[in-house]
Amino acid sequence: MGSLTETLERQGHALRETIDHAGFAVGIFVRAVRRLPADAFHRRRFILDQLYVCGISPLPVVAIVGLFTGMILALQVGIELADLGQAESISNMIGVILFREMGPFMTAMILTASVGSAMAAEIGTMAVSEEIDALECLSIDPVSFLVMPRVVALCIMTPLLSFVGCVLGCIGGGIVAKTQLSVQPSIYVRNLLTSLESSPQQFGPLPEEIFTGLVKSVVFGLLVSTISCAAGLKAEGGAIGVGRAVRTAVVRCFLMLIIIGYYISWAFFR
Amino acid sequence: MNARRQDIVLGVFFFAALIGLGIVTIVESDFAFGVERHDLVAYSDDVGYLRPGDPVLLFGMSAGKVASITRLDEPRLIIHPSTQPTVAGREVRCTVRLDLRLDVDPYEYLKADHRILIEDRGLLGGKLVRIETGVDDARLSRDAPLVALAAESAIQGLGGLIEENRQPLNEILNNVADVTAHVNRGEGPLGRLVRDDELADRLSETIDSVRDVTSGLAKGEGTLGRLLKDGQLYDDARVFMSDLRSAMERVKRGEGSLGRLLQEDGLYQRVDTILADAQGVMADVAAGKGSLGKLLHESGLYDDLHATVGDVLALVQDARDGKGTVGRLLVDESLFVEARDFFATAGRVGERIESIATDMQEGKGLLAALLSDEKLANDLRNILDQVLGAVEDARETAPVRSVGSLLFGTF
Amino acid sequence: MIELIDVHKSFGEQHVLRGMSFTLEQGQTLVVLGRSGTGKSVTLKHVVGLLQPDSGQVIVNGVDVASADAEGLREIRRQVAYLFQTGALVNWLSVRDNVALPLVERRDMPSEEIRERVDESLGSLDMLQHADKMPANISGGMRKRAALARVLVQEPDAILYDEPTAGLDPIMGRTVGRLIQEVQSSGERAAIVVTHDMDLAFQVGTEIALHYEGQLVERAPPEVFEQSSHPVIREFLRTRERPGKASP
Repeated sequence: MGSLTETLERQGHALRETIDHAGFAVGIFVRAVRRLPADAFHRRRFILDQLYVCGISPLPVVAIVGLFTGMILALQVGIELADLGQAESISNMIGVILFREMGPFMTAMILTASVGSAMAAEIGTMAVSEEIDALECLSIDPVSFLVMPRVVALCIMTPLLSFVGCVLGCIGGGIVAKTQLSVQPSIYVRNLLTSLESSPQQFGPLPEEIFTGLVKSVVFGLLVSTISCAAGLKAEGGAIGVGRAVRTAVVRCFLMLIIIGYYISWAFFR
Repeated sequence: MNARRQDIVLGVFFFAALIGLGIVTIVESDFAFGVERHDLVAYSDDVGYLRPGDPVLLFGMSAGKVASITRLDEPRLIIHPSTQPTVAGREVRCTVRLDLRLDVDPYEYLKADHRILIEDRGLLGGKLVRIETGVDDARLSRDAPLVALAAESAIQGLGGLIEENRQPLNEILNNVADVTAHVNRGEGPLGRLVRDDELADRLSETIDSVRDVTSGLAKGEGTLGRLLKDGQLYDDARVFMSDLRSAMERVKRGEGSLGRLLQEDGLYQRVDTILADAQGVMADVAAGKGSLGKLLHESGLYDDLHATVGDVLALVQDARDGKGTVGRLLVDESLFVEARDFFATAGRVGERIESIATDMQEGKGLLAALLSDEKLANDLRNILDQVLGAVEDARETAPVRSVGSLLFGTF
Repeated sequence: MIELIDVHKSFGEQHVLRGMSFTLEQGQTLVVLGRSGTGKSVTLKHVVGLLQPDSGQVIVNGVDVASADAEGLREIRRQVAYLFQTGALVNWLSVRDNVALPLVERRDMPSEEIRERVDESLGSLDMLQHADKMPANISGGMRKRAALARVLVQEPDAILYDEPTAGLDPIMGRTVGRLIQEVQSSGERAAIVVTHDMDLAFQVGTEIALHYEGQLVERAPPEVFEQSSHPVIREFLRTRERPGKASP
């Protein structure tokens, strides 16, 4: 009986912690957005630093993953399509899959693993070594100083990286389509462009696929930066606490990417 | 409110929003911000495998979904309001109730002669409801019960067409079978042509040579080629026609020798006598008298054809070698290869048709059995229905298979 | 200037402050001694509003810290500076940028004036030649001095020193003590120095008190404190006489 009570108590405590952390993350996101108009110019140097960290550093990884994802997609889907005599439709599939879903999701995963975890570790280390308290003592809002530049940087860089990843994925798919499925590059490119141009809806100059992919990327950028920074700010207990913060950030980012990704897909493609 | 309590309140709100959205996306699948929904109830005697969630088209545009389909405990008898002669006034016994949910109010557009059709979404299956608003002036009353009719699918239509035309089809196939059997036995000119390899080879060579000649013509080489290609020919022809017209005018007026021939009775009688003599000569020919008569009644047509083809070949061969006037006309080549391939293919197809027809005459094979066996035809119809169902199933599982393949294959 | 009235603070089951009360006037340097984990730093964090008391009041220059709004809290933190144990410099900013940070964040000071004050502050602590180095590339003592420069550049009315000699060798510890003496020599600033370094306590303190069971006890000038019969104080004093044999 005692152990059951303890278990329930532990679970209740964990649930309360989860809710507390979620609320904290929502709170710092709201604060970061509210501080944005007043502080963005003042913190332009930090934002530029973060743009480099979030956008340029992970670029090679995003490029390689994008290229090979496109190749794998072409191979897997192409084999099925070739059986139906529709190998030339491979570019339609690759374009839609990459731009709508895989590109933003894949990029967000890479950014979670490379940038989000680094954010959580960096801010977590600051938290456990009292640097966050020091900032507050200097009347510097840690959310404006640490979180806002990172949120802005990831919001800008995630869609750009996602687009680069998608384009490279399409190129990778084209290589496989030519070499493995004997689809002529000109036909591949024409079908790809046609599939994107023939979207049922256009958002300004952008086809629906690309637009929704970019919207997803922006939201994913917000999620990864906010969750990672929140986990870092909540870190306590020295090096172990920093490690826990990183793990928490990565796991929560993955979960929220999947869940929010579904909601965005539902909103656009229902 | 202290910071921790504020975080917990925000966290509860966040998770509540997340769960709420989840419920909305799963339970209220047609939820959309700012769109007013309009319900439409229709009754049907056969929904043809329509399912909730299938689209509803109004003006050919997606305007909503099938919300639910319910079987009625007590069938309803409804007079179908359609003005179509075949359906007008028909009493429909409806056992199924369809609840449609639309983005627009359909009663704003529905006329008395409207139609609600349950149709195939595509060849791979799937259904949709198409609402045709009608062209009548009278707007439909909101109280009038609506009837949805299942439209015939493309495959069902094809099956019906075959059923209706079974007898003529049977006769056609029998005739084809007879013809191909004759050909196969080498009877008649076509049969002998198909059977005789030597003749086919020589014909092939002939076509080759003819192709050389025609390609030369196409290039405008030689006199004939120049005639065909040269625009001067057209101008000359026009001048010639003009001259001919003026000559005919003169003939009509009785001018010149020909004119007098037509206008004067003496001349006409002399011509008539000549024609009577010619008729006597032709009668002799028909009776096989004289050289010409013998020529026409010679029974060895095949041997003559054989010899003639040989001569034509030699002639064309000369032409290809540049001998004589025709020889100077030609140069190019390309048509023959295609023609030869065609004849070769035609030969093989002929053999196959003959083989099929023989089998059919002997009652072998499904098609023959289908034509002669009523029970088998019914079975096939049932199988067609089952195939339709299977295709429908395949259509449903295809996305799952694709996504599965994608996910498990990719990662 | 700084007044704590019956402050209580608990972290879960652990009751850290149990009716903590004291006052500190301008010019006073109060050294708070105590064993690790007794809540000395917690007391300091209440003064600058980093922690809120469960009950009781913390008053700085007549303002209740717990009920101060954002602007009020900002003003309190401008008056009372906090020197953290590790220095808490921002790692990706140079020493100069770290020292300039509180002035830059005020956004109402010309950059020339900021530069002058930063150079002055760094020069007073003999850190000008290390101004362009990154925190990771200087020693622990220099980091402490850089952090002290960042505190002084704000020209606060009071400074809270949290273990200023922790992790430093005795010579460097004495140097830091001398720096604190210099800073306090004007007699215009109040200071609270939390430490268990007895040498530092007697070097800089105008008053010394023991943080014991959630309260300050035996608060007295150094020469009186030295005569205390409190067993914990006696233990501390013995470490001063026989360095290296202190009880844990």
